[in-house]
Amino acid sequence: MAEIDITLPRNREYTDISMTFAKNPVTFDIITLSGVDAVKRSIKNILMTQTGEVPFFPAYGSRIRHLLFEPMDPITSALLQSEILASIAAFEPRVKVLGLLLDFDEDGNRYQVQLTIRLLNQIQPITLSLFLSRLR
Amino acid sequence: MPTNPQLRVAELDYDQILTNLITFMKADPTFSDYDFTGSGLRMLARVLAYVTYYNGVYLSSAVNEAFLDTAQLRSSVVAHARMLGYNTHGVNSARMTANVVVQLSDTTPLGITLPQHTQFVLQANNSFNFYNVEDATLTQNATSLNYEGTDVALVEGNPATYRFVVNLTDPTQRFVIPNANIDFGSLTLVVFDSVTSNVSATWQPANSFLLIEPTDKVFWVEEAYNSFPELRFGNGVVGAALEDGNLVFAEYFISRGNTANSIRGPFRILTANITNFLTGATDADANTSPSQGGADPQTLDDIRFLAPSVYQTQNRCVTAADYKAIILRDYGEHIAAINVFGGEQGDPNDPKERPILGKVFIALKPKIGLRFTDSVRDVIEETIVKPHVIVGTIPSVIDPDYVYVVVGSLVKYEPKNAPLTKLQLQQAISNNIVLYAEQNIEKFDTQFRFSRLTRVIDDTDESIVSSLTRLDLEKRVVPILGASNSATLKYGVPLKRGSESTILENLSHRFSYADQTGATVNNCFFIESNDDISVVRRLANGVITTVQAGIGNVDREHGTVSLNNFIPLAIENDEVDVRIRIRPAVNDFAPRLNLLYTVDATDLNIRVEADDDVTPDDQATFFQGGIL
Repeated sequence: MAEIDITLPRNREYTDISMTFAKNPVTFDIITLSGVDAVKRSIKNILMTQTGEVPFFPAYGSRIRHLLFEPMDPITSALLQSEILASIAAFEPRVKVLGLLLDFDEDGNRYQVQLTIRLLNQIQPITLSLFLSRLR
Repeated sequence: MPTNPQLRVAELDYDQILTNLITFMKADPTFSDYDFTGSGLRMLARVLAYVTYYNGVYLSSAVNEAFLDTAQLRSSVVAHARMLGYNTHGVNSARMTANVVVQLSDTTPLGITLPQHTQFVLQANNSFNFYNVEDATLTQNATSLNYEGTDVALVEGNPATYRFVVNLTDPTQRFVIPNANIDFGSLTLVVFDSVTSNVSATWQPANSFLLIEPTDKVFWVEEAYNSFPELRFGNGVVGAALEDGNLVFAEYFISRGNTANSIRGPFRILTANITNFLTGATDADANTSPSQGGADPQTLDDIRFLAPSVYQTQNRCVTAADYKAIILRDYGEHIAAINVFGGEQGDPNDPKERPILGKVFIALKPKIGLRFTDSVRDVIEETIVKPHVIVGTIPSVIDPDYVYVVVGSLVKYEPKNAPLTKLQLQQAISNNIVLYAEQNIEKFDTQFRFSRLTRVIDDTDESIVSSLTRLDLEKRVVPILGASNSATLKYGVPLKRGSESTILENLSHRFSYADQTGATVNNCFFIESNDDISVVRRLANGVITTVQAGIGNVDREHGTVSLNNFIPLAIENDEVDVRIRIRPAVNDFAPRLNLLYTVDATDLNIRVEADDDVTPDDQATFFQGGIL
């Protein structure tokens, strides 16, 4: 992997910027994300990035986009689950995945993903819900 | 703000740039997720690193392109060379002269004109086209009634034209002909007053910058981008300037460069703009000089090497290095080795090579063959060298005086470890010796090292366990048969002293000689005894008898063999040369003046034997002869 090593102390506070780049109305500074929100944002970034898309770091991301163009059947669903779990395991060391549910939404031509995770420095589980649908 | 504002900026590698940025930003406690590959901060850091990296690469390339030594783009190298006054050349067309014969259906005229740019097609396979560069006059042969012309100048390529309309209101107008295979040397230019005008003038290629008057209609051809030629014109102060609306009409040949060399023909003329034309062809007997002068565009390495050298010469031949640089600049693509020396370095003891003050000798070895033709030597002397020499100096282009290094080697190898057969191994060793000779011996500025040669032999294959190598030196004399010949042959090294003859017995290239009674004796060769040379022959019983004594003498110390009044009647197998092989007293040779060592691949004596083979005593002794 081309990127730098990661150090992960258990008492670490996670803070990140919001990818909306919106302005905090009080401080007039960029909005920050912290804790669970920062990790959720990170997972979304990983899942939405196509492998090979990032220069100098071709392994980064997931192959979900390819799979969204496959027939919506149990095999593709299983492959999607596998891909999501592998991507998170590879690029998001802060979480432990407790469960993953993936449902077809044939009318909407999309998958509903319900990911149950736990931050390594927290006890309570968190649920992350998102839809995966192809845009074109 | 970062508490530690130090940002390392020296690294150029992407990963290191990213690490440096993240390390820098980590100092700000507001954010902490730089480490995680999915975080937004990491994405921003990546974008910063990309931009930094791209800028680094761009700047590095830009700086590299700014210097002749490091530039990679041909256009950059050419531009740097031009700043040093060195004009690179693109493709050159091969040229030759030919004798032309044309048949007409009406043989009434006594002479005809073969128009310029008549096509000559190579008869063998139609693969090359040559054209006559000027009109040629053909006169009728009274016997055959054919029309014949001699020494018609032909140039290889296909003729083409390109035209520009001068627009002085366009400051960006450039006169670039978009073809990378144009022969710069054959480019001719006619400038019409306007597109519709018939008034025109032929503009000439510019030679010397200093001698050009404001009204001189001259142009310069320089290499622009992509090896395209660009035409440049004067500004009204140096050379005449173009006027708005002028039509510049360029004619040139699109050449195939180096591949068109060494073609003798014959060529056919398929069509010609001659009334009653039937057929036409060229002679291609053995005396026809093959096409030469074709060259591919100069390589970047060549330009990098020559441009500074030519700049140092200031376009004047003063030192030996100046001569070399200018000759290599103008004719380097055909020269394999060059040495320049003053006439004062002659040998006072040699009546034929006494010192000649004021004369500069230029020894040239061509890339193809061993000697340039007389006409090529004249061209180099008259058109390349003489315009640059200082007053009072007489340049003279001469051939190298070749000394052939005859390599004999007995090579032992282990068959179990050999990926090659014995024959293949023998061939591989021969090839390596020839390659070593080309790269290391046949130059004036290198030395022949015996140990290097043996290393080349031993390194040919891992299966070779040992080798025993012997060197002899050979000079080749082309005598006039039936006439008295004298020659002083210089080997450049002392000759070996021993009980046997210094001159080795020839097994080939022996000659016929008249004995004391006037009878012709065949299969004669030279032998030396007490420094005197005799012509001898070997009888059927192995005894050597003298045919003619006192033919010459040997100077072992100075390494010369002199022949006086040598009158061979014939040479066996209709060979043209007599070969005189000697044993040198040393095994390392350094070229001097025009003396040049070379290896003839057909003279190699490589014997390959399995390690456990027993070498016959006489053969072992022969190869042992190389150990001093």
